Amino acid sequence: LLYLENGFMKFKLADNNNLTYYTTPCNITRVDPALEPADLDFLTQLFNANDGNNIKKLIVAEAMKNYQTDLNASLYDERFPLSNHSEYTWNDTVHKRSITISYTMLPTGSHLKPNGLSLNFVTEITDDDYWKCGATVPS
Amino acid sequence: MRSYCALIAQRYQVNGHGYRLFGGIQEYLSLSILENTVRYAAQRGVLNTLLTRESWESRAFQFYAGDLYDVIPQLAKNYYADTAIEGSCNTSTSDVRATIVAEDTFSIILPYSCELHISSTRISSFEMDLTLQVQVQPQQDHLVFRVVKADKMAQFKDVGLFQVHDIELANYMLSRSLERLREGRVFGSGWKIYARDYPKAVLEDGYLFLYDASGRV
Repeated sequence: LLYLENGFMKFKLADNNNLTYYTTPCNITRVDPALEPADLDFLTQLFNANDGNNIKKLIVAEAMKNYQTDLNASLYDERFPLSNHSEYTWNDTVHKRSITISYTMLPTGSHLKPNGLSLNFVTEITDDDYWKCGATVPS
Repeated sequence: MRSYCALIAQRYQVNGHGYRLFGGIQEYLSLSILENTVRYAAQRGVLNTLLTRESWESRAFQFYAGDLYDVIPQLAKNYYADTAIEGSCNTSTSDVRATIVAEDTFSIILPYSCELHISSTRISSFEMDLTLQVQVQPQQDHLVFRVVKADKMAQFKDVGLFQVHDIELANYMLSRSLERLREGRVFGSGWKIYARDYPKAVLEDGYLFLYDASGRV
């Protein structure tokens, strides 16, 4: 869920897809159809196996895709628009003058990985025709 | 401009050797945003300054004609020593580049055109490339920028009879006045950041990295 608070963009990640089990050992409590206890133990070991390419990783990857889709949809959702605007105001107390500079932020995408979320923007001064692009900032 | 990561900790490479983990919300501010913002402000006259006694007086130059008798001898023939001087310095640079000089300090160069006047008579004109070393001081929810060093390359021009005879002394007076830049906050201060208990700022290649040092593990 992406939302605004005091002009900052924030988000909450519901863990209903249980993403944390990527790094946390899990117990399989139910299999349908039911398995014998020994088979369930074996499946649990297989599920938690840390060989770099286990079942859990594949499941997490699928869950990530779902989150990614939801997140990108949210970035462009007109019902819940992200902040695309911010301002900086400088008050020059010596010369008794001030300027307010308005920035426009265009969300261009997001990436959700096991170690976190990144959101990508292109930012420009709103009424500036001479904006020069710089290096991409890591996120 | 701002990116917020939902990470409890994010891997952050340090000098190419291993990783540190930082807690809390991390924030990155592109130096290109800073460069464009300074350039935008300069082109709108925000970085222009009036040369007044109040703003730029130093022990070497107190904005009276007598202060400049040795620099511009003609002044002694035309004006009493206590005649007030004022002026202006303007910049409208179209290209600002920030160069990192320390972990929390960057430098920028601003070209200025300056004039000094007595009443409506121009008595001095000079061009100056001003190099400012600016330190980033993150506060709880905003940034403060302070000048820690100001260097200049100045070229003085003769204005009619008012010829500059002692360039070394003129440069010294200019340097002393520029020391006033170290007194307070400069443009950019007040830039909002995400609130942190113990904000730390680190300049890396192309960006300013902000994190909460109290959450470091």
